[in-house]
Amino acid sequence: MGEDGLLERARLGDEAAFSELFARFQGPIYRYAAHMCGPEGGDDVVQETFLAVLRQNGHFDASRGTLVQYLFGIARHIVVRHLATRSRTAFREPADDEVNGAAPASTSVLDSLTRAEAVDAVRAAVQSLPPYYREVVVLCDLQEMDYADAAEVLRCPIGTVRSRLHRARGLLTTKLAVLQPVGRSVRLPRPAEAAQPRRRQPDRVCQD
Amino acid sequence: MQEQEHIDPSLAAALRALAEEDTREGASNAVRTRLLAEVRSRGRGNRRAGVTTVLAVAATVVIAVTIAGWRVSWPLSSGTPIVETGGDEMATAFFPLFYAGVPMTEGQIVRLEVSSSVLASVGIAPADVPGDGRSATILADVLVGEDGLARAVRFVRPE
Repeated sequence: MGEDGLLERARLGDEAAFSELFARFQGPIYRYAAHMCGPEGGDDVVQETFLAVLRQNGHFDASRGTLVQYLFGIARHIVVRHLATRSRTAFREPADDEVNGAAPASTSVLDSLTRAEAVDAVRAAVQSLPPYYREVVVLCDLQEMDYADAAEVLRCPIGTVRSRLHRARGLLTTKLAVLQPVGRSVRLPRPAEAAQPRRRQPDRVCQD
Repeated sequence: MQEQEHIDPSLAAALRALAEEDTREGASNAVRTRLLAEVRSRGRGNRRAGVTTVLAVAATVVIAVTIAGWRVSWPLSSGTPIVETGGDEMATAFFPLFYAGVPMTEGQIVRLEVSSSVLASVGIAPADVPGDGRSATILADVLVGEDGLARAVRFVRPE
């Protein structure tokens, strides 16, 4: 059955159709929300997104976009609201002095970490990005959403998605470049600390 | 992952590892349970709405039958053809109603229990209807088009 057919039947109370729809999309939406709002926000965003889907009869037009775009568009709206409510986080492009420059640093230090350490380090680095940059990394690099879908979700041109992603990856590279493996413990610098990505600062590494 | 040519290979590998690690993450069962409850509730609501629609159609039909009694004249004082509908019942032929001339591509037969007095209003003598004709109510099959308009009616008596 097509995705729009599933949606229609779910709205009419078909549990099997809803279960299939939920199984297909809850994971990606949860992970997007968890990266944006924290794990505690993931459940809330998934629930609110699907409730909105069930209650917005007739708002999905398959000729105007994909179901992925539609669902993530709703989820993003809820995420932005959550961020604004919880922390008054401004969902805008940060000024240059609010974030590190995208220095041409190397992330070769990641090669010396175990996979689990690297995953933790990258997760923390992604979390430390401003939401404006974080969401494009989450959508395009972690969710593997294509740029056209991401542009629809973010309601911006594809070129903006590309440039924002380029900038976000630069910031990530800068943050990760200052990592130092000591034993099996790694701590990412705070954004202000990461402003000097080349400087080695052993006192910033957790010692077990 | 897209456009890896612009991304540091170590960063790309680390992001890929994070994405793989995350694939196990998902909403809790509690969320699914709550949402399924909403779906069930919507299903019940739609079924209630369906019943309401049928009742509304039935009411329309009864009104249409009544109106048709004096808008459509039929020489039915006797000799109304009786047909077997299959099963254990007998029925009259279908009598066209007021909207019989409105074209339709598909329709449904809605069975109603109506007062026997409706027979007189459409010009049918009780003796023309199968059965003893003394019941206070009688079954009527109404042909309703996809536009909700009643096109024809027949009267039925279980054998």
